[in-house]
Amino acid sequence: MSLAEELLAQARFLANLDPQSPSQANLRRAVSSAYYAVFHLFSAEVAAQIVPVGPSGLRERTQRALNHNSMYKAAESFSLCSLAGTRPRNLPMDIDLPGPVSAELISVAKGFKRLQEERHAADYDVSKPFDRTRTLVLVATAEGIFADWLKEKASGNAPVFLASLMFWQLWNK
Amino acid sequence: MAEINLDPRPGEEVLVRGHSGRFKITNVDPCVDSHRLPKFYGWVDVEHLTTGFKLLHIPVEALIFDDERPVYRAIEWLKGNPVVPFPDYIVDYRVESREDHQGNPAFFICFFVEPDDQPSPEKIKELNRFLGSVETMLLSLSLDRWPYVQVSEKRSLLDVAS
Repeated sequence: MSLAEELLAQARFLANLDPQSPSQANLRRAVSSAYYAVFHLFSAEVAAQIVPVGPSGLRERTQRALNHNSMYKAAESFSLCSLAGTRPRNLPMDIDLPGPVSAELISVAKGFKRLQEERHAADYDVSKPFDRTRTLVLVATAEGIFADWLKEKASGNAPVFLASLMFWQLWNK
Repeated sequence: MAEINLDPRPGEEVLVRGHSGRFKITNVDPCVDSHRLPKFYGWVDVEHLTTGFKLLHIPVEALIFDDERPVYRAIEWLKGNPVVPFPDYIVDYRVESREDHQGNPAFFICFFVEPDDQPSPEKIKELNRFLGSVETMLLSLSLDRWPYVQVSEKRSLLDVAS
């Protein structure tokens, strides 16, 4: 089982603990694990794309180089594809998208952005408590991303999305 | 999304340019050709919420509406035109304008449901699909804030207060 899959399983486990009275710590950790499951899913995919084979440690270093802000911006841009037609806003024009952005990829991007915001609230904002329903919906969002990515990862647009997660803030320099 | 009605309505709270405090719209008077115009044109009467001071027959352009207004109107529209069924266990919703964790302008739309310690997988799936449809609909309006659509059990608010 990959780290991403373990984190996803952990998220569901924590979200369902304490049947009568769920603890804030478990619910918040569940949301955080759900986000990091998705984060590690994509960081591993990005690293595998950039370093398909290579010296030991290079892929792990590449994975470590991903940053949340760049992923946030890339996810936002892909989320808006259903409005603007087929092309993510601010994707450099010389990058040729092989086809329209699929509903699955748009859903992945939207879910990622939503989870990142909720993870931030779970980890830092104690003014608003988490509850079971909210937490389980977010875990389901992460599970939906895994399922959608499984369908999408062989598409021609998948490499563009993965590279976007890594390089979004560097492409328009 | 052209069906979403953004016309002023009696009872709606607004700010008025050049005046302090909040007013309530008491009467709406569209111009005679308003049905042919792409957006509302006409006049309104308003009343100050605390002093009762009235401004009569002022142009709608003098009004300043809350940022959240199009979101509320869009959700109202969605209730009557559901892309995905509006779950009947949603008891309320709230829209809040603030920045997200990255400092970007956002709407936080929270739908409240009755407390449920063990919601069924079907309910979670239905809620997830519903939230996604609301998000898609709001994104289609090209608002200047990102819509984060959430769900919360209603008791969470009580817990905070106690």
